[in-house]
Amino acid sequence: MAAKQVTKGSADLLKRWLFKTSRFNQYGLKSDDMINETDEVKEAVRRLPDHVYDERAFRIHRALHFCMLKRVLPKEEWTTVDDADNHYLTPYLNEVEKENEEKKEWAKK
Amino acid sequence: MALQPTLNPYIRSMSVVRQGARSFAAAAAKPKHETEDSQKSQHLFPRESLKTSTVGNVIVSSVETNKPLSRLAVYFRAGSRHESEEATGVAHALRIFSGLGTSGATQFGITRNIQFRGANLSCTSGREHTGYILEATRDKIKVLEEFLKDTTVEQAFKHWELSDHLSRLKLDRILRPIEARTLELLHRAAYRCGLGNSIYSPKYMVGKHTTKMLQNFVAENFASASVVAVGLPHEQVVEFAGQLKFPQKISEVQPQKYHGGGEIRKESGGQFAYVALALEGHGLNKPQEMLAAALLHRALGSGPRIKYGVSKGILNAATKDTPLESVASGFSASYSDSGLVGVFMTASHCCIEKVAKRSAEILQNPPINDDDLKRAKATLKADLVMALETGDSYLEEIALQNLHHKKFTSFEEYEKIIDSITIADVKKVIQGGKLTMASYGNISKVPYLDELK
Repeated sequence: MAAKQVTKGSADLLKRWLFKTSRFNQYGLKSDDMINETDEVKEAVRRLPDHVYDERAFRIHRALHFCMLKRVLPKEEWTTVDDADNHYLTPYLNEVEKENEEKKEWAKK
Repeated sequence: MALQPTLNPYIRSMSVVRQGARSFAAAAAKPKHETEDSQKSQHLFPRESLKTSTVGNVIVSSVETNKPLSRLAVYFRAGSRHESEEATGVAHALRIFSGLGTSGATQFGITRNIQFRGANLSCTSGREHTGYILEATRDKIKVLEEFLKDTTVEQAFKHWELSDHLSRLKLDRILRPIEARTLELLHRAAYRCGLGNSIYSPKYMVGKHTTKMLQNFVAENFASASVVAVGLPHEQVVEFAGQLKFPQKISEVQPQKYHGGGEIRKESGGQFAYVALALEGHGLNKPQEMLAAALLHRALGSGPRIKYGVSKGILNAATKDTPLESVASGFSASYSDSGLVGVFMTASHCCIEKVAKRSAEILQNPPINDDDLKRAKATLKADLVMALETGDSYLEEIALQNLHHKKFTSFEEYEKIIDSITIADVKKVIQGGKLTMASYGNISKVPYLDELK
């Protein structure tokens, strides 16, 4: 039990450390904004509801702009690791992956 | 069903899968009874009788045919009549978007699973119903019941699937035959709302049907349902119906009011004018009057009954001067509590005025003699019986009667009523009625409604 808690705790610490050192949160980006755009991710992004897609586009655009200006957001506006919708894209991505799995299974038959 | 307009476009079947090869169907089924000469007469056992029971609020009926092909369907009392004003065309959208992702299966999964077993899953809808029909061979249908369940009560209406499949909605609209367009206008003029709502989505609503709209439509209207099977044992159908989770709220349907004296005209040029004239008919709730209206339709003329034949009816007097440029036939529609009966005519631009005026006279004062009535009765009986002949039309007949009438009236009962109808009864259908009119096409010479009375 205690061992499990330790591993859980250390995985969490690792996650937080990685989040802080990658510094994308200082540009106001969420974790899922940083996903490498494979075909599956592109399909998942296509499926986002309009307002979510617009917000993502805005964050990416603002981040690129800051990158060009060599500055970051003020500290109050940084994304935190505990934000609820850091992984807004993951449900859609999981669904796309499941669908592709299903297609591969059928292709085998 | 038999007494509703039988133009094909009113039954838009969307086959989720292509028609699979069914030549192995005979091998798939085992004969139900092993008798001495079962070798010869494997599939010649007659249909058994209709069995009905209730599961919750839902009427479940089935007919065992002892044939290799089975059909299982779920019909809902959800049609264009039940659309709200903000959600016009949602019934059309529902029909087009059937077979898409559900909470249990993806669209791809449903399509492939059904194709793999050589089955068919289709969705058909009308003004007062939407039905999902699964056709499969007897040995495969058990496995596919789950997909029928998904497609009927567990639809997810994912918004990206709705926009991906919009082109099918547009195609359906483009393929509307002119007769259907005219009859839609007629219903709008006659009923205004409810039955007046078109079964096709209007152009301005294409692309505007949201997930929420579809979910609301389903939640409010899918509580009234009927489960029917042709070719399955009753216990299996009852078990299937028990697994379906229907919404609880049975919504009330306003009684339909017929507004006479209305007219809708739509210019669209072309060579012909298409005019529909109607009076109020009767619905399923009044069987005697409904059958009298159906007889009037057939007395007026219901098209050729044999190949290369000629339509025989009292409307022939309207087009006798211009037989090559005009056609006038009767039409009737019977819904659950109202109906229409009248004339549908197509004529070229030059002679539509005469044809329309004469048809209106004949409709309002039909010169029916005994021969006409005899012929009408024979054709009506033939139509009713033929509606019960093939598995798919029998299925729809049972489903719609259960849905709207809560019971199934056999042909024998209808026959008794038909035999008792007299010429006076038929004429009573149109007595004191107010004409409604709809015209489409090259209508510059089409007389207005007040010129026809």
